[in-house]
Amino acid sequence: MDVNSLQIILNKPLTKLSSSLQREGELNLIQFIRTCSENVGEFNSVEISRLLQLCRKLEIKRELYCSYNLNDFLAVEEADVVDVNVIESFLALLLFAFLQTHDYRLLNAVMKVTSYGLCRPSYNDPSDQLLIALNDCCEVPVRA
Amino acid sequence: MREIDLIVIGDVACGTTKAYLTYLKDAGLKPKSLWLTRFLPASDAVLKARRYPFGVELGNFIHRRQSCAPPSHSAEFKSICDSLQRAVRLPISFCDEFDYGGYAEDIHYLTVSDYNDPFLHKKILKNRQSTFLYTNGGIVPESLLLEPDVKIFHIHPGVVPHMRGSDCFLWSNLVRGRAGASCFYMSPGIDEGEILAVEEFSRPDLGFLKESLNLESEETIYRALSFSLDPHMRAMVFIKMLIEKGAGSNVKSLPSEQQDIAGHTPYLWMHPKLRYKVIKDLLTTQSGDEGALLEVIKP
Repeated sequence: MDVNSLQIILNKPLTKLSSSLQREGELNLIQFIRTCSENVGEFNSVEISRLLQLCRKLEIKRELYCSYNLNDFLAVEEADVVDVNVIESFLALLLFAFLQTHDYRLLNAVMKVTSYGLCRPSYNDPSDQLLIALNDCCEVPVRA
Repeated sequence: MREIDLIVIGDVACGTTKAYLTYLKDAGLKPKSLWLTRFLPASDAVLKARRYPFGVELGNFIHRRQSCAPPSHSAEFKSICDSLQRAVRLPISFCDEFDYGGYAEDIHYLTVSDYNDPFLHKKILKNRQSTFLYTNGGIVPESLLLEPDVKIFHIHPGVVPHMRGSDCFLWSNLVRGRAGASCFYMSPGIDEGEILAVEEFSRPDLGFLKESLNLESEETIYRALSFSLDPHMRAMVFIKMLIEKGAGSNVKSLPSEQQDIAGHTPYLWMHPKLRYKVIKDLLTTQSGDEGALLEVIKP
């Protein structure tokens, strides 16, 4: 799976959940994925921060909900669990975000979610390829 | 040796206990007491006994008699742990018998399930005039940490607030290019306590393990690093903190500062594939690294 394939995943229609409205103080996951999909490669700091919060949720709970409270990032009470297509779109975003930021938490989340069987096994490919590429030609970034 | 009003709650199965005691002794310090603790899940009989009057004591009486297999280490694991001691100034035989009597005079032998065990709670509260040193044993419940005067030192393998959470020895090497550790008084929340000291470490020469690394041995090397190298960092930071703060006998209220955790999401455990990359980098000797020891450097 290459960058183009990830882009195709991001462009897929995202289930009936996409029509749900975003209420104040809440983050609608589908709308968030759609917005981010338009900014691939140029995520702003708020988007990166929310991607990190959500990937943490996904790693721990092994599921994502269609709506989160922005104050505490807990799933909204009546929110539904999203399906595999949404998770795969979200993982594609994480990989794009990793390419932009080199924040390994994003890549780690993709690897773990793949090993949990929450998406198609083919997601191993891009994360593995990124890791191999980084092993061979990238120095580990040192942060101040 | 000078005694400090410190109670080490030392997990017998964990390398950190041995490291803290070794480094304390090397600095001419000894804890007031050592609670040598077996963390062992309570049997049904123990849980049942706790419901009776004096059940906490009765339950622990039964718990102490509960048997468990002594920790055993494979020859490969022991060999890696021993070879890792070439990278430190104060080598420790982590997998061998340890004479705890040489490090503390007052030793109590405990068997408890974890920090939620009512017997351990009661014992901590009864001794709350002293300060405690955490070595292992899982999450310390909020109810205990919010008790007035209960102060517990924890040394975490990462520079807080940046590197909080799990596998931070590896995450630190990956993200910051070097290992680090922080000493703080424990508080509810993930590694959020008031900071006493933060240090980072030079990269030791671990090239002697490079040939041993493959997909099969990675897990063993990872466990050996956690068991027998990471404890050195924690102990070095703890002792340096005690010395630099000019700590006398009482270490309950040393100068500390709040963490600003805003924007710093804790790390979660690292996937083995990523872990392999980090360990491979760690074992790769850089020019000028030959024979280098693990040393504190200023951040």
